[in-house]
Amino acid sequence: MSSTFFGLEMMKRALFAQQTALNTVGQNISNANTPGYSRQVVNMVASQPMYYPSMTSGGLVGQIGTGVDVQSITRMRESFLDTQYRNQNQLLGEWEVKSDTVNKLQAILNEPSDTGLTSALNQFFNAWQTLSTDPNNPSARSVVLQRGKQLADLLNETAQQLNDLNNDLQTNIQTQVTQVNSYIDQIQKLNVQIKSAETFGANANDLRDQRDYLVDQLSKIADVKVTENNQSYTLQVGDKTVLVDDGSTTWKHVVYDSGTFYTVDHAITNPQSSDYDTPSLNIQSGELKGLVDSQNIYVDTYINQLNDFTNTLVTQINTQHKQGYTLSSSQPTNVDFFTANPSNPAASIQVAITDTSLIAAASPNSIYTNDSGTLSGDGNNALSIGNMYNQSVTFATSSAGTFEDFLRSMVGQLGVQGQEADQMEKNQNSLVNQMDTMRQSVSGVSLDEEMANMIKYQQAYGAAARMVTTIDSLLNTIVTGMGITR
Amino acid sequence: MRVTQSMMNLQMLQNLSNSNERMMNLQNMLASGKRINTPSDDPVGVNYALRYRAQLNHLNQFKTNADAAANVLDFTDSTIGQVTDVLQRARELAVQGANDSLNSGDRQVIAKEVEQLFHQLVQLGNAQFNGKYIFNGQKTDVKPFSDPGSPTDPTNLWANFDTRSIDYLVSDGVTISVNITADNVFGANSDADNAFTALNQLYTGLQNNDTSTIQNALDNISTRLDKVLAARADIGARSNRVNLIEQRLNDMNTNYQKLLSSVEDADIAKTITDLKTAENVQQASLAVGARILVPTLVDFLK
Repeated sequence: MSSTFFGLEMMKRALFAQQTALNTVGQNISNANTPGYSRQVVNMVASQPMYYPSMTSGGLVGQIGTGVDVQSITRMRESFLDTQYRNQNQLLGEWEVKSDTVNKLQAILNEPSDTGLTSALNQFFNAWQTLSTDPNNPSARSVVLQRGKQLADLLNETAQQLNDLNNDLQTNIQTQVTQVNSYIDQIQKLNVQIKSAETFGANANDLRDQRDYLVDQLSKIADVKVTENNQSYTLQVGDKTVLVDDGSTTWKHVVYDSGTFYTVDHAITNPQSSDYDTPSLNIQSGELKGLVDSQNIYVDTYINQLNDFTNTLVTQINTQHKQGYTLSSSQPTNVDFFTANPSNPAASIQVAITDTSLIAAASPNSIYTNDSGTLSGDGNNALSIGNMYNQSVTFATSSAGTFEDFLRSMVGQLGVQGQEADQMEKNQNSLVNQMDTMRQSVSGVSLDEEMANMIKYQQAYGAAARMVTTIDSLLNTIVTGMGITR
Repeated sequence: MRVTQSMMNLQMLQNLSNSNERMMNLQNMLASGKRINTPSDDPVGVNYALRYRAQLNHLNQFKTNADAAANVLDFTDSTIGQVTDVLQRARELAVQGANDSLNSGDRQVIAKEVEQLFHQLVQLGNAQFNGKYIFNGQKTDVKPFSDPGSPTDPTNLWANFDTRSIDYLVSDGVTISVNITADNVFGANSDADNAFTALNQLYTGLQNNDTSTIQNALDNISTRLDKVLAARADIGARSNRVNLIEQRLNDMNTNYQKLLSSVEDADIAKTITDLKTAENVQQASLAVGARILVPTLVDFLK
């Protein structure tokens, strides 16, 4: 036989359980828009039943229920989807950066347009052609000089902008590395907190959400892998484990030094190359990979090509120019038209002459040496230079072709890269969105659902309260009514 | 599948952002009039666009070069025309001077006119176009003939002498010589029918009242005249060629403009239609967004 107050006790449990569920509804609604939050559910079970003794048989007739018990509050989450999301997110990060870089490169090269390198190059050759038709005309000479300067300036400017872009990328890598280290530190802290919170069996739902959200963010910057063990995450960045789940105090930080990533003990505040772990860290995707590739594959290639172009141009023009005769001398003048520092030609190319009479428009001519006068009508050297637009030359970084072919293939290559990066970015974006939608489908808070639950729990709470009233009136019958006679 | 508000929210934002991006691209195309604004818009097309642009650039320069060539050739043609006139008059005078009925006084008078013709011929030989001597090869800044006081042998006239050709680039790899040198018009010094030699001969013959010399001079002037006409025909032929090239350059210019436009320019009608479609999609998704985002169960619980 159960106690008189058994019903009250059972209903108290019911009230508490429904209240807990209502509070969880409240928590879910509050965090409906919190990034990384996963909805929580209260798992209720019927509590341990009691045996109901028999009056007659001495045995037991059965069990009587003792109400409800809140067994746990858990978050709805599927770690498989997390892994999928992170795998796509790191590729999104990589291609976002690449697409951004290629777009900047397209803006720098500024083609097709009337102000790009191809235009300046053609105008330069055209000026020589005009000079060849009127070789001693001072204004035709000064046009050649101006067009040469214009071409040189444009090359300088383009090289400068490419250089700036490279420096920006370099700075971004360092910033992202700092970010990665900050995430590693935070995940380590959460590992410790979650472990201590869960030692006594509770679920540290919100802390776990935070930790997963941090890993999500980290996955955009670099390829990460987590494995859970004893409530802690073992974290792998690239091909190195940076954080081990044993709660030890020796986790790693990432450093970037002269083109290579390394891991280094977190406690070293200002790591030197002797502190780096070997072998170096290999990061295969994420924004960091995108930034490094942008430097190595995109920007460096274009700087090299631009330098190759400039070098070849300087050599070709100068070789031809040196053979010619100027206005003021009757000997081949051996004057360079352009100068450039061979180590960074595009950034340093300049027109070497300032005096228009030093432009060698006349051709080397055997009769000339027997003749004291100047050949003011001879524009053959200018014609040879003006005709170079059409001549195939050999380049170090590309197959032989005209100068224009070279620039054109450079722009074409950039276009293909741009298209690829744009498409990859779009694809990854939709994949990440799809993954996120799938995760939301499991973990996201649905207000409709919460409202329905709210009503459900509210009704149950009301019913339980009603039950208390009924038991109260039963007790009232016993306590105040029983034994009284009129 | 379980669908939450934030999923719908996300989806709608994504769709809106997609249609915004599409509209931005189309508006950019319309504003610039170009289908290709960056290389990645069409990597293959951009290659053609750059090629055609460069080709147009070259064609314009060739056009400038050909115009300059045509001008020089026209001027040379008219100068040689005047040389022909002078030589024709000289021939008339020679015929007249060879007439046996004239006396020495008459011949002296004719000799005066021949002297004038000689000076005129020297002047024509020193003709300048844009300040450049046209008959002196590449030495365009040097006077080819000195002007003597009276008719004399050409050996005394040549101050400087250049026979090199001046070439203009008028097409890919095609140059055209725009000058004719004095030896082709007036004859080399050693030629018997050098225009100056012949006039000098005529002048001396007239002065000396020597009909056989006059007769010789007449023959020389006649052969020279034929050669001058041949030189003029040569210039005329080159002038024709330049004209043909100019026409071809114009045709090519039109062709390349067309090609460039077909590669690079936006099809306005199509782009506007696309933009209208995109606007409709945009408005529809905004309207749908307004519908789906508001109602939840909250709105119905009182």
